[in-house]
Formats: sequence, structure tokens, C-alpha cells
Amino acid sequence: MEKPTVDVNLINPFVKSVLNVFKTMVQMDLKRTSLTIKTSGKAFGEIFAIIGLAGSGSGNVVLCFPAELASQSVARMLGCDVSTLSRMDIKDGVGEIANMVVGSAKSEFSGTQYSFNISLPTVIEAESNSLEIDQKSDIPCLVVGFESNTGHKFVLEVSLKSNLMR
Amino acid sequence: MKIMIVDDSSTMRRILKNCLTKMNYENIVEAGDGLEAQLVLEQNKDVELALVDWNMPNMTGYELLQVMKGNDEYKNIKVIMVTTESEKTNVVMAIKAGASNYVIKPFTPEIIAEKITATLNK
Repeated sequence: MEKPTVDVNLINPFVKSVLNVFKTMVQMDLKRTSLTIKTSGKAFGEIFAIIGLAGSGSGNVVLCFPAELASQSVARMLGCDVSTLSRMDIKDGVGEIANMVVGSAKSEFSGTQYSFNISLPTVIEAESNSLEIDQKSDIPCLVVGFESNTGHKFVLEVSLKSNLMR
Repeated sequence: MKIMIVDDSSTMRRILKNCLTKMNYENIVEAGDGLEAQLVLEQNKDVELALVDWNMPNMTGYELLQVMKGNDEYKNIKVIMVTTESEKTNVVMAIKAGASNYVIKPFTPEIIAEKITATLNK
């Protein structure tokens, strides 16, 4: 079977958006550390925010947080202490970060063969690095690693294909 | 002045509430979607400004905006859309439907303050 190809430039609006959302809302500087194509089903981290994409372009975006970075990020957005946050607060906050990341990137695909609408975020928790997220085999999944100025790692997974005939 | 925040994310409602409190607006009511917002409005006839997200379950912010602007009781409430929907067509749609202003997420507290002040001074 022919291997699906991927245009790595598709990742750029999402990367730009991650950096902007963290800088503006979380007051945290991230730097991009890696870019790979996903080969195993396992996702990095413990808290995952998933947003589906549907339209001329389709796929999904997953933001993968280690638990500590998730709680730190939400506390910074709310201007409160981590100890005051409930699990629900953290899950809601991570979902809103994902919503802003994907929503901001969305406009850059407007009018292209990849334009899409986004679903509401779904946030799930799992044991460290144990969650299997099966991406559709016909859509390559790009995995971007980031590191925060507090030394935490964070991963963004993007699967996006065009449904339009070229 | 009473202000209504409509967003399905409790995090975003808290962020906006923090911004409003810093501006000395403390009379704030909240709703998690467009349907709940209509119930809140029925019980709070003195709301003068609404900060409304676009993408929400049950009833979107755009649908709520249309309901508000089509209702004599609510049509004078100023509405600021606060949303990730940054495509020009959506901004135009919202303004045509009666939104007074538009804030694109992510935003700084300064941007929210500036848009609220500008909207209330219109």
C-alpha cells in the first residue's frame, strides 16, 4: 500500500498558535524542540485535549500535557495557586487552551483545501505515556515537541488531510 | 452595571470575571451556553452588557445574539463576542447581527478592558 505523504508546512499555523496562546494567556514561553511523524499509538503525557476537525480538511488535534504542566498552566491563566484547583478546573482549563490553539490556527486554513470547522474539546486523563490514540491510517500524524521555560515538555499532535480532489 | 458572561468554559468565565473585577465591575452573572443565557436574562432584566463566546453546546453565541437582537426586552443590551472565531466572514456576520464589538481569543486583559470601554462609550 502506498504510504500517505504529508506536507509539514501544515503544522506551522498550529505551532504559531500554541506559542501565542501560551505567551498571551498562560504567560509562559515555550520553544519548539522537535518535529516527527508519529509511528506508535502511544501519546506523551497524562492529560489530553482532543479536538476534531471536519470540513474540506479533516482530522484531529491532540494537546498532550504532563499533569504538572497542565495544572501550572491553568493556575497561571486564572491567577491562582495550583493547590486551589480541582480536577475539573484543570480539565476545563486544558480544554480551553486546546480550543484557543485550534480556533486560532483555523483561520489560517480558511479558503484553502484544508479549511475545517472544529468540535468542542474532549479532555481525558490517563496513566503517564499509556494512552493509545489511534490516528486514521490514511492521515499522517505530525508530532511537535515543546519545552516550557519551567523545563516541562509538552506535545502537540496534528492529523490533517484534505477531502477535496486535487 | 450588570454584565453577563456566556461561555461553556468555566475557566474562560473566571478569566473574564477577573478582568471585569479589575475594572471595578462586580455585578456579574454567568451562563454556560445560549439557552442558559436566556434563562439568566429572564431573571436579570438589568443586564446592560454581555460577553458572549461563539462555539458552545446547545445554543451557540451567534444564535443567542440573534435571539437577543430580535427581542424587544434584550435588543438594547450591548454584546461583545469573545471567541476564537477569527475569520472575517464570522466577524462580519456577528456585527451585522448586532454585536457591538468583537474580541478574538487569546487576548490580554488590556484588550478586554479597551473593548469594553469602547463599547460602553459608543
